[in-house]
This record gives sequence, C-alpha cells and structure tokens, in this order.
Amino acid sequence: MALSRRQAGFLVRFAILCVIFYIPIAIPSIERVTVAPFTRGLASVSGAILRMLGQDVVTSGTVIRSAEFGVDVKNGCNAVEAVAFLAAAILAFEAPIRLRVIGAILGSIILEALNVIRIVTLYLLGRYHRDLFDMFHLAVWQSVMFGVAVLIFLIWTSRATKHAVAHR
Amino acid sequence: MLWRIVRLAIGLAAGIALWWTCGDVWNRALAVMTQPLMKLDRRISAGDLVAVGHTIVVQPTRDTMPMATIPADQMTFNVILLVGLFASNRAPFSDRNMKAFAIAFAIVLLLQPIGVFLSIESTYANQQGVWSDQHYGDAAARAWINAEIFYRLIGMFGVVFGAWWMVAGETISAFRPRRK
Repeated sequence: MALSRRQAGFLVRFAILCVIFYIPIAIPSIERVTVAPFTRGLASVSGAILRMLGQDVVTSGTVIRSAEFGVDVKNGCNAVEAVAFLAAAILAFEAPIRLRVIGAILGSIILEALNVIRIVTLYLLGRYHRDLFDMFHLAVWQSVMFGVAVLIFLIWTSRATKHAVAHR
Repeated sequence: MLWRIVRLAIGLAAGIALWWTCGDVWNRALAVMTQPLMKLDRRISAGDLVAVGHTIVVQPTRDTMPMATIPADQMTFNVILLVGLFASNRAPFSDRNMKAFAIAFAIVLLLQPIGVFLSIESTYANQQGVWSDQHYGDAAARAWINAEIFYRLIGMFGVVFGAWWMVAGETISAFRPRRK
C-alpha cells in the first residue's frame, strides 16, 4: 500500500491545480466576468428545459421561479467545482497534453450536462417533494457529481494509458 | 466499467444511509474533536462546542464573543463519496479493500474537524456584524471565508479522492508498476 512516486507526484499536481482553478471563484472581479455569466446561462438553459416539461417558470439572472417554488443557482450548484476537480485530476495525470486537454473539455461538458439535470430535478423535487429537497440538494447530488467526475477520470485514464502504450 | 458504475451507485446509496443515520452521533464526536482547535485562536477560544442535531453550536463561556451555529452536517457528507469510491473498487469486500477503506476513512474523519474549524472562523470573521469588524481585519475575513468555501466546494472532495487514491490507487491500471 506504499505510495509510489508517480502517485505522490500526481497528488501534489492535483492539489496545486485545484487551488489554481479555485481562483476564478475566489476573486470577485474575475468571478463576475467568468463564473457569474456562465451560471446565468446555466439557469436559462435549465429554465428552458423546465418550460419544455410543462413547468410555468421564469428565469431572472440565476433565479428560476414559479408561483409555487424557486431555486437560485449559486456557486456550488453550477458544477464549476466539479469541473475544476475533474480538470485538475486529468491535467495532473501523466499523458500527452493533447489527450489531457481533450479529456478535460469533454469531461467538463458531460458534467455540466449532468448539472442541468441536477438543477431541473432539484426544482421538481422542491416543488413536489419539498421534504426531500434539502437532502438531495446537499448530499445526494453533490456526491453524485463528484462520483461521476471520478468515473470520467477513471475512464479517461484507462483510454489515455492504452493510447500511450499503443503509440510507444 | 459498467459494473464499476453499478458498484459506485450502490456505494453512494450506502454512504447516504450511513451519513443520514449516523449524522447526529458523528456531530457529537466532531464537536469534541474540534474543541482543542478553538484554542488556536484567542478571539474564539472562549467558545464551547455543543452538538445540537445536525449542527454544532458555539456557546461562549465568557462574555467576550457571541454565539454561533455551524451547519456541521455540511462539512461531513464527503464520507458518502468515500464509501462510493471504495465500493466501486474491484472486490469491494476483500481484506485488502476493507483495510484500505479503514485507513482512508480514518484520514477523512480526522480532517473533518479542520473543516468545522474553518467554518467557525469564517462565521466569526464575516457574520457577527460589529463583533466581526472589531476582531478581524478585511484581509483576515476574506482569507477565512475563502478557506471555508474552498474546503466546502473542492477541498472536502479532494481529500476523499486523495485518500482513496493513496490507498487504492495501485489497484487502478494506470498506476500499476510498469512491466520491463
């Protein structure tokens, strides 16, 4: 169970990249022009899907609401943290840079698509099963997002390793 | 990979059940383990930590600080991901995996008091009105809130991933020793 040098190196790079990717969230002036517009876009897309599902919702900034219920998509609910986590893990891994960049971009798209499902289901839970909302909002969906991020990372590492062996 | 996904889903469900049922008991232990950390900062060292349901209440023993309530359950649900990740490993009930899980579980649980301490500092630095202004400068208040948000958004899951990787990473094909 001893930690190999490669594993240790990976973990150090992963930790440093996590901190670097946290900067857009931490510095308000950067957050305003990067994360905030993205979060508003996410709320618009989620609102549009809810309307397609027959929900009478309006979107205003990061808020999706109807007469019965409303959600405000904030940092922590926009999956930027899961994307940062996944990108840090993929970019920290020893693989050709092209594979890392492609993996990080594709993985981020998958996570954000899943996050739209999260927002839509949380709205629906809040409206129809208010008693379950907090548990799903806090624990279930956040754990699922990071679980899926790790799965994407594992799938990517197995492919990247095969690719590296094939091209050796 | 499909079986890994199934095992992960079952593990996450088991983790949620564990976190939900043991939350209050664990909060009491967490309050006891976090208490010594309060001595690190004189501004809040007069606070006694008392677990109340899903929260930890900071009760002042002297008239030098206000009371605060910390949503401690929000600092502990990273165990759900930990259970899910170890359940996703091949042969999850093997001695090897269970031993690795016990080590990673201990690492994650021992780091949770640090998360609670960050949340307490952030609360006192930013949410206690005049008291916060009098006892924390702008830079300190920003530093504590950033430390708390970093821990809650990324750090607590990064710790789980790191602990899992450290003790189970060798089972992942990419990190198996290369054959010569």
